[in-house]
Amino acid sequence: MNHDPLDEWASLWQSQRHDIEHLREDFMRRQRKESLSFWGGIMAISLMVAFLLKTMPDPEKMFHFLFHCGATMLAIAAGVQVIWFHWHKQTTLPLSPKGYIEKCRHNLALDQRNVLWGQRIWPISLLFLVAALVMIFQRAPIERFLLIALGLAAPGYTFAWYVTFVYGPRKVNEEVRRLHNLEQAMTDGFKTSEDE
Amino acid sequence: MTDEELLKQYGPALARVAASYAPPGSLRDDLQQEMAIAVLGALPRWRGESSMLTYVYRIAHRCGMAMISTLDDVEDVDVDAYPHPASGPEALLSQQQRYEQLAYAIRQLPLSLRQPMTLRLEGLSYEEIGQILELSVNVVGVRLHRATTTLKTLMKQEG
Repeated sequence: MNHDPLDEWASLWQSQRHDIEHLREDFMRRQRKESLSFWGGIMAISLMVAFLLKTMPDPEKMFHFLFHCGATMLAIAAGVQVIWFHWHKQTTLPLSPKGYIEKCRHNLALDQRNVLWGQRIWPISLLFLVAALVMIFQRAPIERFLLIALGLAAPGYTFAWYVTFVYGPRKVNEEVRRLHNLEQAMTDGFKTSEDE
Repeated sequence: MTDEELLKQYGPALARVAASYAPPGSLRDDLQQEMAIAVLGALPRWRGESSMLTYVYRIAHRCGMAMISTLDDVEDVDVDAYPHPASGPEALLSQQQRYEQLAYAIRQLPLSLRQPMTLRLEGLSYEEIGQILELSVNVVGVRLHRATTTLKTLMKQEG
């Protein structure tokens, strides 16, 4: 009797019934953690805004006020980004394998462009930094100038340099390798052109 | 459908899809966890435009692909590590062993053949497989034919 091996394999395959219901707990834990971080972030931003509103922008406190303004704006921008990301994640339908690879390619192209533009903009941003430092040097006492230059500008720009020239390109290279692995796994040893 | 119902109904299928991507052990456990979390997280987004079945399998395969893309080389299971018992409760183990042999052979297939084959073994029709993988029915047929031929060779080598 000629039997189809596919039926035999399917029967063997479907005979395995591992329950993974216990993994729901992990899901719930992750949900709670995300929710906690989200509301924690909202609370922190609210406190910063409240403090900002309370601080009077008189000339003596102008530096503190502006510094706090900048920090609050950064926190709000980060918060908006997180909310947008969550919204996007919740409205995006799951991708097919083909769509997933296309999305990876698209994201990689975007990342490569971002890194390239970051590196191009870098010399211009340095000019701004130098101009700002010269202005501060002319108008503020030397202690304040040193505090701004060494306490804020130097670590900030070092971090930005690291992200632009080291971390960003490294992440892009990792993504290139990841996509290469995926494409190789899709076609490894097989020509798919004839069935596409 | 609640979280519990979803995992009860599709949990075993998710575990089998995970087996087509990862050998037994921590890698497969992690993948099962990722799949379960991704499916449960995506449940509120399900609008009924596609069947829940295709929705779940799409997410599961996307998780599998994301996992294997991060690996340089997957160390696979030694199928001979399972004993070869003949009867009694040990027969179940034998079935487990044959299942792992099959899963091992499936993992040797390229993704373009592995995915349709796994879905076919799950009992899905050509149309459903085409919906999940965004392929025409003809392409699904061609790939399944190739996958079956390759899998036969691999199973002979294993067996």
